Amino acid sequence: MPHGSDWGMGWALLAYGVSWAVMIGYLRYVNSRVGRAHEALAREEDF
Amino acid sequence: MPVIDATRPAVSPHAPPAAAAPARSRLGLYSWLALAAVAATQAIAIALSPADAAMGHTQKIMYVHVPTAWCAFLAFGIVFAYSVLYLWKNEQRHDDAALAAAEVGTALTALTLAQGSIWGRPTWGIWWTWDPRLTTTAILLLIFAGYLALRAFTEDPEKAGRWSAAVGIFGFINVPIVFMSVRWWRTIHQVQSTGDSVAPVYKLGLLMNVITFTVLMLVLIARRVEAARLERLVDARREARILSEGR
Repeated sequence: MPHGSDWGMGWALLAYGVSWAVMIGYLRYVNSRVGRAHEALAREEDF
Repeated sequence: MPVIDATRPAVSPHAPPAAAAPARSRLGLYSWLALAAVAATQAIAIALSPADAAMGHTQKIMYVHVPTAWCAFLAFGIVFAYSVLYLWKNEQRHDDAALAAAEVGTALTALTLAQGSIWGRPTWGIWWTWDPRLTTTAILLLIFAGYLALRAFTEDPEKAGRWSAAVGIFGFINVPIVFMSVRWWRTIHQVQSTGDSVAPVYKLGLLMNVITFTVLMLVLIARRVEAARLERLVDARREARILSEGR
């Protein structure tokens, strides 16, 4: 198994890729919940 | 979906007094700015740090792994503090904050384990081992996954708040155990990466990333609290409207 600098950047990129997928995914999930709640409130005002 | 009755006026005469919807906060913008700050500090740290003598470029995982683990611990500290406050004062805002921090902390703990596994494969030659640090972290994840399951499957909000507050308080006890596990037991995991244990050339990059990641975590918790409050407001207004229409 390549150790250290040979494949090191590849492993690092994998770790960063997984991290960014989780961070962006969670941020979008929370922002979408807030957005949906605002839309629902606007609909309730229309009644 | 509301059922539209053409025989009734669009606005019910018994409708509760119209209350303006809360203004949109800037937390959405701040969350993307915080993410951009994390990207910037990661890029700087990666660009400026030389390959480690033993680990090569896999060392660069430290700039995301250590801040993630630190923020998970901090999030569970917030769960502990707000759970105590909720049991003491019984105020909904404390339960909102505890739940938000538990959700963020659980996601970060799962991410910490994934990053550690990716780092462990080239460094230790294995994806996973029942090492004290790894095992106690997995237990921490299971405890707070249980916390979130309890919230999801308990219908009475007050019971859900009280029971999960108890889980949050007792679950936090595991955090210092995870933190100290590398010193208390024989483990293949290195000691905590702090200002004292990290080589000077990596110290500034690590510090910058811990700061920006902490800001991101706090903004995410605040945004999750905002979502919970707005959703409760939606439920309250919907319920009031249905009740007024049923009179």
